[in-house]
Amino acid sequence: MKALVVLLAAGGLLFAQEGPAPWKVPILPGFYLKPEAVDLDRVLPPPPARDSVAGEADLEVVRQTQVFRTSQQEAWARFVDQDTVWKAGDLLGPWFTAANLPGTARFFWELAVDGHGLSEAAKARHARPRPPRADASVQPCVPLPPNASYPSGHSFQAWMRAEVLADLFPEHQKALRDRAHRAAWARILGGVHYPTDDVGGHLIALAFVAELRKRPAYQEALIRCRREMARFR
Amino acid sequence: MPLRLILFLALVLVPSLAGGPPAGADPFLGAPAGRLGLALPPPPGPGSLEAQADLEAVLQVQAWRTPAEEALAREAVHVDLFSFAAVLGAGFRRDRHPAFAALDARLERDIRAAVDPAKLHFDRPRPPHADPAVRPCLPVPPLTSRTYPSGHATEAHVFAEVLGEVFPERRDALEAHARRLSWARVVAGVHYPTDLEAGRRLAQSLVRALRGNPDFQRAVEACRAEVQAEAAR
Repeated sequence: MKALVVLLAAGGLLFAQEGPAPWKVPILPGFYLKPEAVDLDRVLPPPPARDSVAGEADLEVVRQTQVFRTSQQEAWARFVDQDTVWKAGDLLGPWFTAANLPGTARFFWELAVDGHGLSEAAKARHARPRPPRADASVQPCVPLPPNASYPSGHSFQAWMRAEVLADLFPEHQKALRDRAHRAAWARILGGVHYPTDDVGGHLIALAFVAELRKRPAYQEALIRCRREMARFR
Repeated sequence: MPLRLILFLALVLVPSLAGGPPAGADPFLGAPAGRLGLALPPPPGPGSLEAQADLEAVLQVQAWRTPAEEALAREAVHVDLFSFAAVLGAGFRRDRHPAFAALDARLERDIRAAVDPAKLHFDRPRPPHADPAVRPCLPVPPLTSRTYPSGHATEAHVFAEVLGEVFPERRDALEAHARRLSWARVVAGVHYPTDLEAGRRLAQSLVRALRGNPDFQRAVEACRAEVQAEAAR
């Protein structure tokens, strides 16, 4: 029950920006996919041990990135800290807004909730401490979230959105994926994730989207989004 | 006999093939140094979580590479004891410190003897040869060159530890500079983060072996005497 309350609270905080949220019912994953739909044992390897070569390298990347962090990188880290599907609008056009596309807004909000269920389930399995907890010299330039480090929820969400947007805008697939790489890396720049957290988020996002694409409900939702967008494109 | 084994034997038996340092400088450890490199843990396997994180770090650091970082990459193309003038002061120069220059030449022999067989043994291709999206800001190493462990990181950490024997009050600053010189290789796009950590570990085992070597102890003593004589002038 406690876990459910935390999930609801975190979901409410994370997805408030995805669009207008008039629905008041409990926010539970399963609009399109329940967390169990992705076999985490198969998809997500454990993170490197703290004292392994890769574990030490992970921490060193965070430290050195901080040493060379520019104000431009800090600005990007802060921008992506509150990332939403609408922030990819600069790639798609000024018409790509929640106000213009309420049905699409709801669709991405539901996907975010489903995805959040999966990424939190994955985090709970590994309980990896965040970089500043492993080394006090790591000073994040974005708020340090209270949950576990592996895999990165921001990386997951960035990759999930990029792949779903690429289903809607195949002509922008490369630019969308480049943006997902940079959005996920913003968490290393911010000092709140390791590089392997970023890759872990990518891995479960690809598995999640592969499952989504098999679901008729998802394919129907894409058709509704395309119809809603038709008058702007 | 496989090509790798032939190359390996050639490098171990004919040090001049490895482009070794000038004749006249004898190694402290000699052949036993070669075994230290082979005892390292292996690099991340191809396609593993850790290998993907390694490549992502190289690509994202490249995406954000600043002129200051490119200058660091050029500065660290050649690393020797005197690269630590950045910590010890501009007066720390080869022409003024013959005892350190002699120590440097001998350490170089042991470092090469440890690094070169390990690189062949682990046989990991350089980042630009693994992914064409990696575009080094330095000349691309030859296709045959190998990446694990990083020779530069091994040198930087051996030199920092050895200088720490002479300047114990500067140990922290020396180590921080060694990490910076190592990171320059990721910035340049010619090494992965785990290569640096492997180099750091190899440096630790080299230094452990050196500390038990009376010849090395005498060479360090000569450096201390040189510093004291300079202070007395």
